[in-house]
Amino acid sequence: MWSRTCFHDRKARGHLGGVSLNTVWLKRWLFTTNHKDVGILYLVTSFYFAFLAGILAFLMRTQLAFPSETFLQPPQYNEAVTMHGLIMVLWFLSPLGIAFANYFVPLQIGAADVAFARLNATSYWMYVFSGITAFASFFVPGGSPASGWTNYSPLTSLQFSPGSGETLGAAALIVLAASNTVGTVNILVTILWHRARGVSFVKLPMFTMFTFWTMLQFLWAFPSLIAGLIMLEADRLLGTSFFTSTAGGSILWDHVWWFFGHPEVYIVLLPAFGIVAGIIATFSGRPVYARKPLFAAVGIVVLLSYMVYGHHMFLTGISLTEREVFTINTEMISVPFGVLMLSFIGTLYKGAVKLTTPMLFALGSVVIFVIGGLSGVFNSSLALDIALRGTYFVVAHFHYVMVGASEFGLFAGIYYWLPKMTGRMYNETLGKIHFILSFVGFNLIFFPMFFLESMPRRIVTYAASTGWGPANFIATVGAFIFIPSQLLLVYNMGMTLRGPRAPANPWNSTDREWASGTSMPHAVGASSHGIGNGLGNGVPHSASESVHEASPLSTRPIILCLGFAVSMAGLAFGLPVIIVGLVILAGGVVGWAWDDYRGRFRLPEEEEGERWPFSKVPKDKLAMWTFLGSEAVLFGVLLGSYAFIRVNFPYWPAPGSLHDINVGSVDTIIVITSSLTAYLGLQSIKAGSKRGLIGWLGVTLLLGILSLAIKGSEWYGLVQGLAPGAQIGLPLSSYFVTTGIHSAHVLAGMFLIIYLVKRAATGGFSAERYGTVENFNLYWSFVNCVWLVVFPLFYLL
Amino acid sequence: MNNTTPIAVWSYLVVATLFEWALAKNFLSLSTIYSNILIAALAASQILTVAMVFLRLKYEPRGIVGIAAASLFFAVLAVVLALGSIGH
Amino acid sequence: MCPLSLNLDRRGRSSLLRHGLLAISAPTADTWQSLYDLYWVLAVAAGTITIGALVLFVTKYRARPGSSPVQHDEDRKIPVRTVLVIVIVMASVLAGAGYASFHAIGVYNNPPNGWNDPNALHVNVTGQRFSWSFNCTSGCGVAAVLTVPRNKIVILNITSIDVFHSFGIPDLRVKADAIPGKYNLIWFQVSTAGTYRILCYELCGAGHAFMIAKLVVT
Repeated sequence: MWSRTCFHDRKARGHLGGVSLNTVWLKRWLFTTNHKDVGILYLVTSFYFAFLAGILAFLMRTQLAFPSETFLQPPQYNEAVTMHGLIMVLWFLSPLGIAFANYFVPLQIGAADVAFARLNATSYWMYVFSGITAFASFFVPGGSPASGWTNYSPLTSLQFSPGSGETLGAAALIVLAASNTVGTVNILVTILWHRARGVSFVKLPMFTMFTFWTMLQFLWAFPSLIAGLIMLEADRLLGTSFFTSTAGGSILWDHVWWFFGHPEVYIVLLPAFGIVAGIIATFSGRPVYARKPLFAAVGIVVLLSYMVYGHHMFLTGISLTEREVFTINTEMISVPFGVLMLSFIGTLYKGAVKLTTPMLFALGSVVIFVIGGLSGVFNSSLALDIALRGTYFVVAHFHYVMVGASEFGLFAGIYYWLPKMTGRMYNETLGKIHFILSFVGFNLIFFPMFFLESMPRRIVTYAASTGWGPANFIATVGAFIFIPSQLLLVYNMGMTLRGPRAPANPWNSTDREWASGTSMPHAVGASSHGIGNGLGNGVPHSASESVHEASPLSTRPIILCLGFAVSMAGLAFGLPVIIVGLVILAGGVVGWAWDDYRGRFRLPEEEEGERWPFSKVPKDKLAMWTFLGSEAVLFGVLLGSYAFIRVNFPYWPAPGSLHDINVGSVDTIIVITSSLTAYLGLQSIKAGSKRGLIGWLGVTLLLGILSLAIKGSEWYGLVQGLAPGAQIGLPLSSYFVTTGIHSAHVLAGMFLIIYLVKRAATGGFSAERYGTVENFNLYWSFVNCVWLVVFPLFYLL
Repeated sequence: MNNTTPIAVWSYLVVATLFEWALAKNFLSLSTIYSNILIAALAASQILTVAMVFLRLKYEPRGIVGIAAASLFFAVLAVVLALGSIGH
Repeated sequence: MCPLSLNLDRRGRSSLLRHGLLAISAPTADTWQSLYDLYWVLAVAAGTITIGALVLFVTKYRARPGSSPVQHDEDRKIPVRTVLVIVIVMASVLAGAGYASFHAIGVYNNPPNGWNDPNALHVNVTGQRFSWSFNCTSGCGVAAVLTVPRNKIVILNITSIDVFHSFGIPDLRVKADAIPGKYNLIWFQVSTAGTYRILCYELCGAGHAFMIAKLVVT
């Protein structure tokens, strides 16, 4: 059995602590594409980031313990407050949810792995390198981003944040957002397409069900972040004026940021609640109460989460009507959460409740969420918000939701699944001590803050006369209990590796992930562990799941991600770094394509399971459509920003004065024609004509080059007309960024064509196998669709 | 499906673009407001056509149409909420 | 303009659920405090019910040693009625709270004699890193100190010349964001002489904590 060589078997895999770090061990963790390995990598990495951000919190609470302290200087404090928020939310809480999604979603739905194993490794490595990039910003001149996790522009503009730290921080965020987009598509397709027989949509286990909804939020929220960051970087590096002008400015940033930022709050919360729901059911020995209403309620939360963000903008002077709409939406989002609470508490009813450590954390999460959620109702009121906005009341509220509800729920998941992940039991007493210290410490930190409802957030110090001293002192005492007690968790996790063997299903859970026992599921023999990108060279995976295939190692993801992160970091460090990064990136991409071209990385087809409502859709196509969904929001936000600026800007040039209508029309006809030729290529291969495919793809490529050349000449003319050194006006700012991103998409499509032609030439496609060509068609036509919006908006209206 | 449909669609798209061009150049001497409404309608019809035929939405199962529609909804929502904040 | 302004006196001075915490008297502060108290009552009630039920169930249904786990696979019916009751009760209470908020915002949005009141004291407030400056025709103050007479209706027109700030007078429960290019109006009227803190409520850089001014009511 595989369990013979489980986690403690150091002879085969090298010491976990790195004492005898051998290459097999290293290769496994660097090049793995296995969902469990990637899950564990995510988990360990997110803890590392939490540790760093926790130190920052420790520093801040030390500074605020007494009035007029000078332990931290204001710039240092601002850096700490900013990076603490960014890292905790984006590099700890949501990745920890993703860690569990990686490990347990395939197990819960009976899939052999996630849908796209290499993409999974890719999203992990992007996440790692984005975190390193973010931390690197501490060491550049001027220090890290220091404008709060919300990065409010124009404070983040070049004028007020001249150091390169902000550029680097925004670059890190772009890489992270890309990581999340890749991961989202992957996990969504996994849930939609890889369910085993009998796992119908409504029967999804709680955690998978919540993860599904969370992924939909990732999908449509993060593009807004990417769009905002691109505009911010353009402002900082190219001299555009999205956020430095008054027509765009702070309000535009608020919209773009919070369209992402508020759903992100629920992104952090929902996976934790999925865990909580499952744990409460397990430890009350009852099925989840009101399961279907719960399912619907979470869906309503997802939908509403995009329509409440305006409560962050109540005092910015947005229209009263919209403030009222946002008030109502925000108050009403409590209703589905009421259904969640009903379900959680109803599950306990007439059960046999066992207060194990996971259960304690799960119940703690619910109790804290009730307080956090109710305090949120205060902030939803456009009138109450007048006094509460920007104060410690808000700090208390969102820490109750994010640290309390979310982190406690995720910690519950760690204890709950440790036996599954390691095959061993953790120390229950230590776990309970950890819970008590965390619960008490947490409430000591944040409950007093509800009464600091006049103290501004993010201030480095305060005078004694304000009367804020005592509450702050209590909060700091709480922090000194809460933060160090988290080391107990780390210690307990480490000791679990040597703990007593866990029974197969220690909690008597009915969820599917326990059906396969608790062994560490990789049998890793040194001999079977050669490096390579092919089938059979890697780690045999799925010990006890039904399928026993290997999940190959691949060197491509880590190289690709390194290249991507370096090239993005180059935004702060200059062109040579960008070029080096792009070269590495190209190496990864070409290697990847090469593997595909040689058919090296192919996982065996799984037997068909439950795929409603996508039973007739190939999974690559489903992934492409999901990806296009996020792209739609990316362009939606860019064009929304354009519309917002244009409505606010009094001097918009008349059509024809800035851009030549004739040239634009010719370009549009070329674009339209390229959609046709790409389509005819697809029709050719469907009819079995390889030459037809290559011919039409060639024409499409030429049309793409032609279109880019036209845009290039237009750009050249416009750039010539710019005054050197001056800021670029709003009409051109939005033109450059929108058409620039569109052209980048065209360029990417052209690389795809080259790949397709190469593959077609060697007989990679046939009348039966044309999926990749079809997916290219979807991408290409989508990009052309975008142009059909851009063209009238910029040239004609 | 033979190649007649895509070529017919392409022809429509080209004609619509030329029509847009003529409107923007004001060859039809319409007032700006009518001309803009017409341009918007033409652009919308173009996008719909491309989505239906070249993006094959017409032939896809409901699940795919659902993803496309939901994504479009959130893209439009971003625009609407941003514009809705202007004014008093 | 808005009919709600007619209720100003009643709403402004009404003290629904007041517990006398407020030392000063200002219509904005009174309105806000009443609303805050209302939300607190609702929140404490809802929190007590929810957490109470949780604690009750956990204690009442604790597993006894030796007792076998309860059935796992029983397919429960959808508790339509319970869910509906929760949804309807919550939606109505929250709608009521929302209505009260709309009522309160009417006070904030409608100074007693309108925004163009010739008898009011009109002050232009400008935020810059890291100070507030005040500008009015009748000599209401200089940088960092705003001086206004007691019982005078004061209308502030708030903007910023550099980054996003937020102008707040916590004791009076008034606040508005100071944003470049944007002009946000607030009003207040204080009947208690004294000195009140003016603070910045949006991170604006290294001096954010020290972007403090004083309101002196004479």
